[in-house]
Amino acid sequence: MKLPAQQKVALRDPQEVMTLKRMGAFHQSRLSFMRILMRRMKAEGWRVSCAQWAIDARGVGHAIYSAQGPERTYSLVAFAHDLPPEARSDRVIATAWDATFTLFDGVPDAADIERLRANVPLQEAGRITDRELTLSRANRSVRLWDHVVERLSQGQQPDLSLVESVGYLMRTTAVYGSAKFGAADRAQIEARPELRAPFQAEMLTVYLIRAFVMDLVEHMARARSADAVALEPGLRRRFGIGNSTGLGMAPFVMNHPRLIHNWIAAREWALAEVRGLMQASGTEVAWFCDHARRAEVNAFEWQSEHPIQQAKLAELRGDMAVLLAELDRFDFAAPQPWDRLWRWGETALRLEGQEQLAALLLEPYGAIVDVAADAMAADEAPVRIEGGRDVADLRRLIEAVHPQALDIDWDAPEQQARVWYVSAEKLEPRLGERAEEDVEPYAQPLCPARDAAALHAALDGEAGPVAGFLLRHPEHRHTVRRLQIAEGHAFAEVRDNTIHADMAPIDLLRAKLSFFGATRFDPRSDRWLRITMFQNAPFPGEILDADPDGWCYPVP
Amino acid sequence: MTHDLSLGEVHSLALKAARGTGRPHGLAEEAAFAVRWLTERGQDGAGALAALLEETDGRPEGCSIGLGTALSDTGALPDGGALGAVYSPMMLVPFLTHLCAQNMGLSVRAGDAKVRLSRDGGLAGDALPLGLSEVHVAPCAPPAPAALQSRAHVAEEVLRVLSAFAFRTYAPATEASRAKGAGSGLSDND
Repeated sequence: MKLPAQQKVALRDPQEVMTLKRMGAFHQSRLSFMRILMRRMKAEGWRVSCAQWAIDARGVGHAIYSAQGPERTYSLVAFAHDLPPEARSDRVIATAWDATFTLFDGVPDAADIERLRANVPLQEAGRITDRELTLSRANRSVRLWDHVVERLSQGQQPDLSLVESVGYLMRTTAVYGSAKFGAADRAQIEARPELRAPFQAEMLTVYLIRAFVMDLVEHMARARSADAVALEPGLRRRFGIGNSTGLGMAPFVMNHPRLIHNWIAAREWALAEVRGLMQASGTEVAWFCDHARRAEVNAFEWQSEHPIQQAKLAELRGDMAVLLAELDRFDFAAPQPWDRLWRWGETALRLEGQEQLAALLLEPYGAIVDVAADAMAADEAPVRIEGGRDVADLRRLIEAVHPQALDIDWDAPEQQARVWYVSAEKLEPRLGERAEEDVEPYAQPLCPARDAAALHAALDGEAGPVAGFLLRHPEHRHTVRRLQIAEGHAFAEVRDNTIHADMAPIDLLRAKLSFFGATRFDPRSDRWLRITMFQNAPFPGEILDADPDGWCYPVP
Repeated sequence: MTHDLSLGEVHSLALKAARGTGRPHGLAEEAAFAVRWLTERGQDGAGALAALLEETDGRPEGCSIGLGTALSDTGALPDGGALGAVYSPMMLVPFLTHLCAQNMGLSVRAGDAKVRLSRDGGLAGDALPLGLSEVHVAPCAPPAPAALQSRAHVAEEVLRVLSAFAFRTYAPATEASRAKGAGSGLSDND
């Protein structure tokens, strides 16, 4: 689907949006993939049931959760393990986990379960098939897990402040999707309406993992004592699922230019639509102001021990105070109120506040903007290089897409300080220091700005068709393709230098995870972090009567 | 023995394997596209690439991907249809689809074998030889559009060859890169 182009307000300039600093300030919004999934499940009346529970008193065994939509059923197959503490690691190089999962396409029979039992617990070392859509694993938050089991088994509820400070009982350390380790290719499922928006199978997996984990903790409490109680429903909702993620996710942003363009363009289109509205009703204004207040609560509840994130949180909290003060005196009755508010924010707020405002402005307008979710998938079929075009076109394209890259002195050590590479060890993506490590021969092409500048230099004195140039310079082929894609996809390319000494990969991760709908983005270094997913979301049994969107902001 | 791989896996393996022979990224991407295209049409794309890479490891001469991309870029076929000799000519075929004239197909002959292809991705005929072969193309009636396969069945030996080339793209693990590169050496017991 293509979004209508005619808008009163122009989309923001990609040069402004696609910077690492701004991408590192993105927030979840109505167009985040978790929210797209929740809206669909509610609208279509999805039914989720625990189809099988075969877990013993030690917490070992398997369970099946089936989610039944209007046309198809998907089943989470969960394997619970008894993991010794010394084996518990967040790293992708781990080899054992507290629980392992796959999302099965349909309802598995006993033979499927036995096949999956022999493979899913092994994760990367096992094989799945085109009947499976995802592969995932999770570890307990040991401190909170033990506390919750202990309390429930004694007939008491867990301590609210401890629940709030951790936010989840288990965190996933990978959720592999499309085609990985033998799973079904996206091509096999992309025509299904429920899986057309990006990462819907992955989001459904995590949503069902959350339901399973909550059932498991109550099961463990019951196994310990006949006096055990269930979690009080309001408290139960406060548990999300954690996710620990690192560099592996960052290359995705550069490796999927058309997809990234579609995500960002959808959100930018939605923002421009709202800014273009001539009036706002009292209900819409109240809705917006309520969500702004809740976003401020979120900014204060959101904790991090990392200095980079602490500075961002201080910025966000400061900006939210400025925004709320402005809302008290703002004239919502004058024409185009949201555009005026937005333009005020462009000077009065910093990046954190501006991006939070961008997300908040969409909140009252689901009826207008939610349709953009249908435009977020991408056809990533190979693009033929237009070899007949003149190299002068390429030069102009580089000057339009990467003007900043042409002003950089690429010989300065800090400009090319980093190397993206893949380690032989479990194929883990890593970031090295060019000057200190011998990893240059393994460099991945994940620095489009540098590559565009290099191509621009190589085009000096060149004339004639691109085809001739590429025959002599095949080393620029990748960059030529990227640029020809960027020509029709304005938000495809990160404009900043992604190999600079000061580049923080977590900025790329924040951008991607905001589109997932993650909250409580909590970096532990400049390159790995933890987030929370589905915290406060309604559980499967509640979703038909719940607001599929409102849970994303805390209630004051 | 064959292995059941997803198309994404065979694509990723082909990309790394081609890169592992020293081909630039842009050409390695073309190799991966070609392998996937052939696989979807029931051909042994992975086998064709493995044969090509073994013959052209470190040498650009006779590379069917190089020739295919050059023809695709220029958008024209030589008069008379003689394309020269390349290894694993099957790898050339995916690059020729848009060189088919409107409503026409193209036949690609190498040795005694021949395939026909169409602009919309149809492919008919037997596998072309894996070794160095003179390739000739000529207009023909277009074959019917292909019903696409969704999995790759890759022979053990082909998987071994491609994996060995792919392995060259991975940096050897060192204690320093383990500690620094991914940025976390922490235990998960919290």
